[in-house]
Amino acid sequence: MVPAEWGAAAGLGAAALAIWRWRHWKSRALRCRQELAAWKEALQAVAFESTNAVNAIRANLLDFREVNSAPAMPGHLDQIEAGADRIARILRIAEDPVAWRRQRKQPGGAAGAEGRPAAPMIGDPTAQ
Amino acid sequence: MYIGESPARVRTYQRPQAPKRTASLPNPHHLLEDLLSHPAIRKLLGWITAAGPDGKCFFERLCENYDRDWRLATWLIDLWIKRAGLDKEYMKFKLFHHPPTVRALALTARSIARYGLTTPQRFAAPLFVVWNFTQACNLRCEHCYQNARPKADADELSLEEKLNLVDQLADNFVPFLAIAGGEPLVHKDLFPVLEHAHRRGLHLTLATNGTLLKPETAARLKEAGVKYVEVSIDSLDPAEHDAFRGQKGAWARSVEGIKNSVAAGIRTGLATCFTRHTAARVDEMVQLAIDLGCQTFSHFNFIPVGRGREIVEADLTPSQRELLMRRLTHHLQQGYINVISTAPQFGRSCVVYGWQDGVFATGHAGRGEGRKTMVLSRYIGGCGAGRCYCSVQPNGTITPCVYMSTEKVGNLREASLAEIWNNRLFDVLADREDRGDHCGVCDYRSYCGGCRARALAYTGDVTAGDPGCSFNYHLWNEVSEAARESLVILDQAAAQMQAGANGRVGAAAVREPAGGRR
Repeated sequence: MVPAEWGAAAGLGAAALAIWRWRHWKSRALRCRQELAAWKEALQAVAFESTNAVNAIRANLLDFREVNSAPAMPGHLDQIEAGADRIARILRIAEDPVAWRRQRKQPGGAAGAEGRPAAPMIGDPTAQ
Repeated sequence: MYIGESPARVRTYQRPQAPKRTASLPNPHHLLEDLLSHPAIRKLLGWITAAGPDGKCFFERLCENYDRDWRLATWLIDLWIKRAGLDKEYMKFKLFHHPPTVRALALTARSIARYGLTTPQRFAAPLFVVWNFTQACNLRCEHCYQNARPKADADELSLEEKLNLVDQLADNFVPFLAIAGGEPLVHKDLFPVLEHAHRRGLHLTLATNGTLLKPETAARLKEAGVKYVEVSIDSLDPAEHDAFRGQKGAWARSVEGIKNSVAAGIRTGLATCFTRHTAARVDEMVQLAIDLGCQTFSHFNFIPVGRGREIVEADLTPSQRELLMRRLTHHLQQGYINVISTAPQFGRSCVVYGWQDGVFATGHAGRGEGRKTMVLSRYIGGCGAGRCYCSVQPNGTITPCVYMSTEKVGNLREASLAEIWNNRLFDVLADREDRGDHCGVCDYRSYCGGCRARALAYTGDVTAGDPGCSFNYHLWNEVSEAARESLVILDQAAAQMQAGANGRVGAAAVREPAGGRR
């Protein structure tokens, strides 16, 4: 083979390698995108169902407290209420997971990363 | 307790918003929302729904000519139907060649063109009109919102005016017309109006007490184009119903009326207005509807207006209503019978107590399955007063809702429906952000919005929170001293309902009818 042919063969080889890598990365990016979409959908579904469950607990707890002004064990109700508030706070992650992760990465940010709700919640001890 | 008698003017915002008690709800999204929000699409929608010289828009003509004259359009639509995996015959008869559906779509498209895609959607004309046909009624019900009497009022619309109203509804793309009363079957003008409305392509429904629904009347209604008949029965106990309705033997005649309507082949519903004394028996009432062959169970929200003001202590407490909504959601999800409710909380209840791929109520009368329906219910769900629905009184006065007879926005003798529809009160009612108490901050306000008639009846302010909601218990306690005094009775009633929800009346309590799920 003459040097020009060597050059062409090398060029072809390099092009084939580039195409192969490009296809590899393309398929990988596609897979990642599909996985991301699946995760996003799953997170939204979990957040939606959990939020409704929390709101159902809150509505029924409000009703229960109104019709039972002196329940036998009020501590249990307080704990249910606090639990619902805790779930509601963690569910705020689903609203903006990127901001949550960024906040978590900051020094000392992990503790508050769940984020306090903007509006005071019933049973929230910090609410004024 | 203060029950407001509001004058015919828009009340200013009076009540502050309450602290938010619901956790933020991530709303599902649909690609169509992005598409319909685009300005170019809005312009296109405006163009295809603009009325032509014959009063029909391009969209109506397209649907009319589908599978007839317009071959290229038919071919393109068929291509889309095939790609979407839909059934051509079903689409043809339920959509393209079904005038009320075509009109509903045209009206929705025209509304998006005019107001943009809003949550909730504001409509350019009512999607649904309830016409209190006459003040005359053969019964004297304790809770009658209309305060109906044995004889018709002297100033009621004449037949000519009634036919003109039907023409106006048809010309404004109004797809659904419900005729109520009083008792519409006592009025001589009913059948000429029904026949004319049928000719003009309106979807007709009739609300009646059923006592005059003889076999021949039911057959005539069917012939006149009535698609749905709703008969009111308020109790399982005939004596209790008769006492509530003010006439002995009313229960038996109403049940007979339902049977006659079912036999005539009309889609029939059983409507119940639950009170504090009857709410615990919701499951038995649903079962009665199934046993009688009804396709729909309809819950009417008790509002203390009309004669109902005299029995205000019969109103449900928020906790009773919450339990009631939960049971109705359960029956809707079960699918043995269609369940509708005039309580806007039913929309919230379907989201809170249902499952995201389950069945949802899209409004007072609609339902569907899955997330697409949930997205839809965010736009058309909840209280529709003055937004997608209005009421016509026997004398032609227009009010936002049958339960808001004091809020008169115009009279058809003085102005056209299109002129009356655009008014300040309806603008206020369509805006769910500026609401008092918890209704203004609730995460479910797109699905519910709170009952404006109840807010008006109890506080005199249409923008106040709905005192019938659990999240507004503070307001209920404020307006209802009587409720606080009779707390023991409430406890017992709530305990009864709870027992029903947990025990005997479980998922298996409602028997599956021979026809299976509807």
